[in-house]
Amino acid sequence: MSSFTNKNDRYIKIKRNISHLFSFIVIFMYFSFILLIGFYPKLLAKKIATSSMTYGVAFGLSIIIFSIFLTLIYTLLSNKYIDEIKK
Amino acid sequence: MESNFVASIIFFLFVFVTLAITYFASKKSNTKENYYAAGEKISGFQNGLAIAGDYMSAASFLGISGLVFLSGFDGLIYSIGFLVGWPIILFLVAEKLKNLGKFTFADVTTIRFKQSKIRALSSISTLITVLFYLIAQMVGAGSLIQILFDLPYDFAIWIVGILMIIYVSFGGMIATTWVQIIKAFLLIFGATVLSFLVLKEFSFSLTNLLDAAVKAHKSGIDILKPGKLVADPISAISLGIALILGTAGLPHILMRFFTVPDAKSARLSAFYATSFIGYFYLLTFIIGFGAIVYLSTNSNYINADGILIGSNNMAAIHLSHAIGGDIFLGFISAVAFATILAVVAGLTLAGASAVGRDLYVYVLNNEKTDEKRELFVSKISSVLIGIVAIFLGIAFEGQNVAFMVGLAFAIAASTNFPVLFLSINWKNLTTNGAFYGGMCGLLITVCLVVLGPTIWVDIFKFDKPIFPYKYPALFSVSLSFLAIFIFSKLDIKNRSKIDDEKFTKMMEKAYLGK
Repeated sequence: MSSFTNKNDRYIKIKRNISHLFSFIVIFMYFSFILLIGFYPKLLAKKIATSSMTYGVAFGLSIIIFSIFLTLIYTLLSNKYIDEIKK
Repeated sequence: MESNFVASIIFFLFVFVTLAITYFASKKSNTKENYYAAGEKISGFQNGLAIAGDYMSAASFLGISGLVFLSGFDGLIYSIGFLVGWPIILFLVAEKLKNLGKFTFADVTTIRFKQSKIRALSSISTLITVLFYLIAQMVGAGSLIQILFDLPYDFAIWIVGILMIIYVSFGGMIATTWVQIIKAFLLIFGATVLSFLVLKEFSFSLTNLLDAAVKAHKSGIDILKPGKLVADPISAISLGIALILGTAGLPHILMRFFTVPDAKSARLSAFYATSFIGYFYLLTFIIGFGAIVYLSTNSNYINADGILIGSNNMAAIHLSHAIGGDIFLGFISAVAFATILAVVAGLTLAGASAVGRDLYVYVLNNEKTDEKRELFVSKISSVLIGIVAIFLGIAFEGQNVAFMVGLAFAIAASTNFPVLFLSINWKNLTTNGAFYGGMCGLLITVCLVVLGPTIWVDIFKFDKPIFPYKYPALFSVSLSFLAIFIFSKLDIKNRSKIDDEKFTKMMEKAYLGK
């Protein structure tokens, strides 16, 4: 990557790393779900304990909740802390 | 009918309030800042609601709850796909878009390049995306209103079309945003009450609800397992790519990030949007399973063949009647109507901006025009797009238009997204690379959809599709990136013009703002 002449070098680097890390987590989570559906649906069809709840439903609903959680963390981090480095 | 009475009152109230807002907004819509971007005065929270309003169409409310009603788990696959694009937009696109652009996403893709070529590409792909999306919404609207309110199909289309033209041509982004906010609030409120009423019957335990649904559904425990909808791994991955990257390339969604004052509020918008949309999809899941329990064995809602009266899309509507009575049915019906109206307004505004700004100012007039004329063209375009949508909506009555939303997402994922992504991330992209590569992506997508099972077999009635997969995104997106790469590399003549400094400057602006 070309070097920035700007004194905000550090800010841009931190920002970029964090957005890439967070994107990677979401993509990894989602595609593991999709690949499980495609290649190994039996695992998702397994029931948790004795209820009707399957691993697939639990995994799916967790992705939704975890996605919301990640956007909250990212927004808080950026708006409250990382923006402070910017000058 | 009591429900019709309630629905009409709520609907007229909605129309009255939104028209009043449009009237006040029209006094301000004589500047570009206000017409395209609501004067950048929308807060992060408001914009989050508005984005959710743009994104949660009647198709996702009625369609996904209907899909859950029909096949359980498979409906969840769709809703997750529609959601996970949102965190990605926040992490990779939202703040850069706000920092770099002004009114349309082409402002961002053209920063380093020759305006006319890239604007031409963006406006074409925007118009195609918007039109297909619009037709699907209009046809859905017509048949839904026909069932809900007993109105003739054509009449319903005209009402939706005329109201949307009024909102967009007079009120611009200010009116459109407030229509979205009110609709999003109504929809989330309605879905919350419906889910609350369902869960209350199962002492607020999701497992109890699932147990009851498994007992009621004819497929039994299979509704909680991956089913036939996404049969092979290639289709599953391809659908996933279309939903994630397509969401990040929808012009009417991208445009929303210009309505807030700064990068901080752009992030907040995306966070609130993700929360509202995610919460809403959790509700559609509960509503779908509630519908399985309450409707599957009830002859008031199921005909002799065991099929839901109306269509599977009516699951949420019937459930509101089964569990909340006539008055609640009326409320939910009015909300569904308002939902359709808001979504088509957002689409029309995005299309009109592409014509008035990208096409008229930059492609046809080489930036030599004034604000008054530009806005006039944009407003006329919104009327024309509205009229085209009305006629196409009527022409496609009774046709299967579900593939059109898929096509819109596929084009957004294979043309808008790669050009946007590479223009802000890849130093070696050139004007010709983006233009010819993007065009290739557009053509490849259309060809693969036409040659695939949805059009070649279902509509043209050939025996076998030439391209075997229903969702082309895996192939069209990769080929589009490849084409852009090759055309940029071949663009030797312009290599010397690539300005390292220009790219570095843009990157700094993308992160630091103006």
